[in-house]
Amino acid sequence: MNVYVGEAAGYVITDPSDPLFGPGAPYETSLGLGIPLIIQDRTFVPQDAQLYNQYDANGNVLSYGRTRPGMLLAGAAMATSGTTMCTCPPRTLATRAA
Amino acid sequence: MHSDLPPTTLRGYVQLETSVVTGSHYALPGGKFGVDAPHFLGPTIVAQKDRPVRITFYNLLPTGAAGDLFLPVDSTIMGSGEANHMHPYDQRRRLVAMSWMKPATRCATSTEDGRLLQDNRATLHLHGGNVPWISDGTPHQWITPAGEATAWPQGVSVQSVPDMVNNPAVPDCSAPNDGCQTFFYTNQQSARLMFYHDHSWGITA
Repeated sequence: MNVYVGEAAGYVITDPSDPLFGPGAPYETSLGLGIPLIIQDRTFVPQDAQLYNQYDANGNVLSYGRTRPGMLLAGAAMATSGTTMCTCPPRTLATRAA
Repeated sequence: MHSDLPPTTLRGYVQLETSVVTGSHYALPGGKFGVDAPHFLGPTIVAQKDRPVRITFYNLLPTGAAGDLFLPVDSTIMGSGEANHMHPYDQRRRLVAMSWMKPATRCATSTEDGRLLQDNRATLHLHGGNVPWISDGTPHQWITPAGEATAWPQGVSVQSVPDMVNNPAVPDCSAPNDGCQTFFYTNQQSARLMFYHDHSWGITA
């Protein structure tokens, strides 16, 4: 997800002795390199509702990954079978504006 | 993105201003300033063969609920969402998995967030780079922003560049919850185009 939402950028290693990109070479630019070409495949939709699937594996739209069905949405304290690691107070979930 | 497209929400990287690198003083979270506004697929790092690059990386993503990703995340993937989703049916293995994540304390906070692998984890991985492992940005070398309320402020494999610790010339990023980490790229390889990207466990792709 992080790469898809934009956490990615170019990194160029130049070489002064490179016959194509070095000083005076055919593809040299002011930075000593050619023009980086990056191709990506993306989906653009006017509204989120037009996405094929807005829901995470738990059926939630926002606060993805933070709840399990019927637990914190109802304001119940987190309880797990076996050892309880922490006592967790109710948590208010943000809802997405229509 | 293309100027014909309407605005959209993104995350991204930006070059921070330093004492020797200045720019338009673009205000960023955490009291930091960028040399300019963040740009999609930027900033490109231009290095030279056999000349190392050092990076001090700050995670300036929002904390708390604002740090959640704004797209659907499959929290059943290992390394995403609740830690005990990793082994939901085996208590013994679950505890092993949780200790694997090197919690700062067993229960650092009394909130639900302390149990989660946050969506605002981030790191740098130089894709195709000839990089020593401590600076590779592996899936277990992520950090959370400073001030994040989490039992796991960083992944288990985070390592500082040795000579960037206790070095008055650069910020010290050796604390687990300082929201920054250091990288060293050798550039000992032929000229090429690569890219760097996030590699955080469970939320990279």
